[in-house]
Amino acid sequence: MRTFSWRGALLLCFLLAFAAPILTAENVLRLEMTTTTEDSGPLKFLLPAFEKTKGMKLRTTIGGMGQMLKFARNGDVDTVLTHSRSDEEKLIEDGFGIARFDVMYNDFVIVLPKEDPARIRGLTDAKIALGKIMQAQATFVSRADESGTHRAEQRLWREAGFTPQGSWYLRTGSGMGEVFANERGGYTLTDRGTLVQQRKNLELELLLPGEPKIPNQYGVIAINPKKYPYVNANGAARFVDWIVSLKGQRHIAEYKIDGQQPFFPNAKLR
Amino acid sequence: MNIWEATREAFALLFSGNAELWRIIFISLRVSLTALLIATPCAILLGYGLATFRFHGRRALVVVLQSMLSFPTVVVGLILYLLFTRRGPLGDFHLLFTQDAMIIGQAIIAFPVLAAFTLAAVQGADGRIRETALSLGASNWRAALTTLREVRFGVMAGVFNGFGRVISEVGCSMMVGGNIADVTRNIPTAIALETSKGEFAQGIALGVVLIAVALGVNIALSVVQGSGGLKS
Repeated sequence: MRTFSWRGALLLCFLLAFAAPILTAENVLRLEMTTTTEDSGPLKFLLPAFEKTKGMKLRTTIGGMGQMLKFARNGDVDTVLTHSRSDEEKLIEDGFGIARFDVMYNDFVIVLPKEDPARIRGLTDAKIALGKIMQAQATFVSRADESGTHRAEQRLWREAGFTPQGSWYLRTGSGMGEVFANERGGYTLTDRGTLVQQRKNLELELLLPGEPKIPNQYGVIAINPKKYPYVNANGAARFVDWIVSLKGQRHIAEYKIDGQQPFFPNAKLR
Repeated sequence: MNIWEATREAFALLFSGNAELWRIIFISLRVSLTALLIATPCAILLGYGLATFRFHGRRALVVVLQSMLSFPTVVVGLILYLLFTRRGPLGDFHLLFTQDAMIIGQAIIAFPVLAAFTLAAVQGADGRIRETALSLGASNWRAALTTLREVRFGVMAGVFNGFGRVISEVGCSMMVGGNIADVTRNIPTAIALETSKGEFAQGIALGVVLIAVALGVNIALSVVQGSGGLKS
């Protein structure tokens, strides 16, 4: 009787070869970012620079804001880079994150279709622009996905004193607000980073925002090892330290797309 | 949150009589069933033809058809997007982000499944069914109908499979439908949205809803399928 199967052994080796990278995952840092962060490009310049200087491997998860916060609360990641301050502060308050640091910012802008049915071209106050859009019942595309961008949009409507409702207010849960606005000749809110990145594919104009700007602040948080002892607390601390350091901040400032700077570093240097 | 809480919330949602939920279910059913209705006749015809007639390039066609089963749904969505976008060749029809676009996408996704299953069913059938029908004076069409009636269990298996693929498909619906609330949001894209929002319980609840809907449709379809037992 044969007790050793060559074919089985071969299959096992094959499977192990795929599993190997997982088994040898030392010095791996699990970072999560929201879709918007990924859309606007920091993955491509910031993260390789960190990997090179610190000799660590980053494993980056991208997803919607809510999902990322849930992962953070469940200890599925080591560190978080997002752009919704209230949610981030809640994470610290509930003990899941150690501390939150400002990293960089840009601003949200309203983009308008060429036809501009609500006649907001030339306006500088976003709240007045929203009022005109609502009055004209012109298509406004909302991300409606509780992302950082959606939160900012909701805040803006609230501060402007309007409750958008009706068939002109399109709630798309697809994370493609700009594409939608482009297709439907509608208005939408997006962050400057994403817009700079996607500009070439779109026929949208930009509402030049005056003061006050609609701020889009990014923050970084390391997950608390007291809640989840298995998180890579050491690696997370190194990442946080690096990204708010002069070196990390300089990388952010130097990144340009078509000559435009999508992010402005604003960590309080220590 | 654990899986039990999520499941409990799922059932709470199901029995809450939520209007938006029913709208989502209705859109899912309307899109998927219409897509099947469009794709099935052509697909069955192709499957039957491939199984019955011998012609040059038949093998190649069969291989292509069977490879199409692996076509990623999001790629179908991407191709349709490029066709339907305002600047695309079919941009003037304003199909993007409509239910019609979703129906077209799902019909394309279901087509190879339906055709491949019909092909397998007819190929496996006794060739004498057709010969007998023809010798009794049936036309080619009539003989085809007789054969397909005989192998309807296998063909219907294809319909079940095609339905399963389109009712649970996210990539294409998201891409060409755009997941607009009350317009193009079906169950799978709603699940994707709830997941990205971190509302995992809602996601599971909608998953349970999807399975319940599929069960209902499959029970209805199985009446057509018949028992499939050996005939005496």
